[in-house]
Amino acid sequence: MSALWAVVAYVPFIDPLDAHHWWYLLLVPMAALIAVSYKAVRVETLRDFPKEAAIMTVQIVLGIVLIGVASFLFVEEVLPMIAR
Amino acid sequence: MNQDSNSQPRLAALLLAAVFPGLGHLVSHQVGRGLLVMTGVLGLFLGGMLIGGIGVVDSQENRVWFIGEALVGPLAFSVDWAHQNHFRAYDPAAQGITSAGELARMKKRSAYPGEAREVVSITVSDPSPNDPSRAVTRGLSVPIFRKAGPGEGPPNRTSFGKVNELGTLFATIGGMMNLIAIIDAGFPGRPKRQTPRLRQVGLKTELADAEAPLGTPAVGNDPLQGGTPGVKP
Repeated sequence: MSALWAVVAYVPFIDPLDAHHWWYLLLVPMAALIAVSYKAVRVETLRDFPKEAAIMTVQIVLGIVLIGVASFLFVEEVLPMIAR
Repeated sequence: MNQDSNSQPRLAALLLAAVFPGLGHLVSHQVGRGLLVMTGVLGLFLGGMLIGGIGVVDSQENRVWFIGEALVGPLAFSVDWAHQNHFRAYDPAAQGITSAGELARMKKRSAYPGEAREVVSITVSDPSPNDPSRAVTRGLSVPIFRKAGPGEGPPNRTSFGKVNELGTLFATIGGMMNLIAIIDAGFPGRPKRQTPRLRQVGLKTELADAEAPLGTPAVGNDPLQGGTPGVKP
């Protein structure tokens, strides 16, 4: 049992998460935390903070999605056209 | 607050912001901002470790990324120290080394699956710096990896692929966001970006910020904030 525990145990902050199949979902908390730390020093009053941080989170996520789609189209469509 | 005192560089806030995320704003009586900076920066840094493990903070193998992570402050250096000294170790071949110079050329590495970490004593013999013809022998405690026995395992599992990349990215962006917070805590004089607010004055609608002189607080007879329309503050 202890040998099995040594193999499968996940120790937070020491061992990596098994997120190889859903890693892209982690881009959302990343965008949210970037927005929180950026807007914390950027907004004039903290009353505006929740709205501004939420807008920036959506902007970052949409930006990443758009860049991903553009990269996909470039690699899958444009490059084969050039290579022909 | 007075605009003049606001625009002065704050050395103490700058240094404290570099020591711990958000501390610079906290000592400047900006508790809300300080807590939000702390949440964002520590969330990114610790989130990176949660995703990729302690291996994402590595000054030896990921030096360029560590430069960004180091901007989180002493916390990043502490994590790296713990990683280098409690999780990484030398290859088993280090046990056969007889010279400190040879050991210095070896690099510590992360554990492979099926290995366990152990600190062993080795004896090295090197020429004396004062008299090269004489050898100085001394014992060293050296961490090495060896084949794991029953119930043993590596001190940590090494992350790879997207998980490692994303964890490293989280922690590095945390450091970069903290740099913005450090600058803001130390040099608060520049104006914050403000979305222009519309204010209705009588029948006219004008930009509220257009007529306010620089440094005027955004309070007064603002109908949007409960003031009387048509009466200028």
